[in-house]
Amino acid sequence: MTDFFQSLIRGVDAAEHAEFAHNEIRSVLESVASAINRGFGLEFSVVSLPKQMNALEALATSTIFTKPEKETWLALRNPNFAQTDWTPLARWEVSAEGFPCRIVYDRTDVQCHDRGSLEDALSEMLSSASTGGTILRMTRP
Amino acid sequence: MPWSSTGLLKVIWWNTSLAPPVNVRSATADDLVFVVDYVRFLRHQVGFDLLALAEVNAEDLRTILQGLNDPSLRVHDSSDRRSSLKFDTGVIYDSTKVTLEESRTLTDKFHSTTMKTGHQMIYRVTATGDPLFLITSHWPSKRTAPDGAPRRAELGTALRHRIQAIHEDTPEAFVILAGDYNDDPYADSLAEHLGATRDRTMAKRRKGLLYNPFWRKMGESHDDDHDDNNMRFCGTYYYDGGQINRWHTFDQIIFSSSFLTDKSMRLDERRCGVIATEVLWSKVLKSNQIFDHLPVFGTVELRSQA
Repeated sequence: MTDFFQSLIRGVDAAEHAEFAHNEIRSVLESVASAINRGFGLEFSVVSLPKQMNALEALATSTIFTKPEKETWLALRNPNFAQTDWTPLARWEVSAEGFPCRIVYDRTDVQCHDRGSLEDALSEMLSSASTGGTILRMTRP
Repeated sequence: MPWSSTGLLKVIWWNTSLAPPVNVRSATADDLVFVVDYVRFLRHQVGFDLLALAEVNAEDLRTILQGLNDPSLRVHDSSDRRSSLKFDTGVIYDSTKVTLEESRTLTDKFHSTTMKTGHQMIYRVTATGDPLFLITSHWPSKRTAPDGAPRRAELGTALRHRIQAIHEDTPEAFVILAGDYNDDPYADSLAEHLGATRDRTMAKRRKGLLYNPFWRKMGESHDDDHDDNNMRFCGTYYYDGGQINRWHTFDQIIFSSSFLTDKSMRLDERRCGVIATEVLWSKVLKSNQIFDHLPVFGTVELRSQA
């Protein structure tokens, strides 16, 4: 006979693990946000932006009946110009379990399976020339 | 409406042994000349639309392309030796058959160890208009990650996550994996963690499973050892010091289940296998040669509903 109680225990355990992972991820992203704000006065956040499509996809979905699809991005904004749009740095995906989470930028697509590797991957993304260029463009008068 | 065949899309994978992901290169100029000649043979005698190569660098790819002297061919260089994580693959493709739309390097991080999961490209197939996802991989050798090392399981799981992500965005996507996985088809990394089955029916029935035709390419190439069957092999990679087997089927081309159903592209398994010619086979068997892999090929039938 199926032991539903044991199934429930496993479900609650999985939920606790997921909650812990999401908290870890949030804490890492807050550290990044704090460093960016301290260094350059910019806001860093996870935001939802319209999906970037190639010309063919854009043509295929350009009917009045389709809503533009959204994607989640790690993005920057200058709080001095709060009306301006968020500038995307990297596409960001988190699984229901928290890990793995995924960062896509330039020609890099990295999946992180724990907190340490997420810190590593974000550090690499922040030290890339494309992120540096974005920060320069946003902070230069 | 019934489907009718409009042509073939041929994929070849070959680990050339020219530029392994280490700092010291042992290939000579003559070795590169041999590879150029052999790729010319592959193009003209076997035929390919996508030729994925491993253990090559940017210079090798340029030289091979020049040697082919075919204006319809393009090169996509995904090799990168700037960091300790060395990428050593590239693709030569026929631009009249496919167009490259997007590419990216797939890495996975576990406990601050970064692994080369593969390199993902999206091609548009001219004849059908379909996107074709090609992921090339060169996984670590047994010396770097021995049997049972967690990294092997992690690579299989990581690659499965990538394919799941593709299918979330593009359900029924046509995905081809080609690589030197440094594992045989039965290894847990490929069979369990990646989910590359030998069973076509299971691949069609269970969402997420892939079909690996190279399960069938692990045994002896010939039924007996008669002298007229001199050129025998039982795999794609040869290591003379093997304790139980000298041959392994490390090089494989694996297909998503969408290639097994009635669609615009269908796997043609009669045209999948190991390319063994006397000239390369004899080099692979000699320990004083750098070459230790035979190429493998897979074919997809292109179809339309006329």
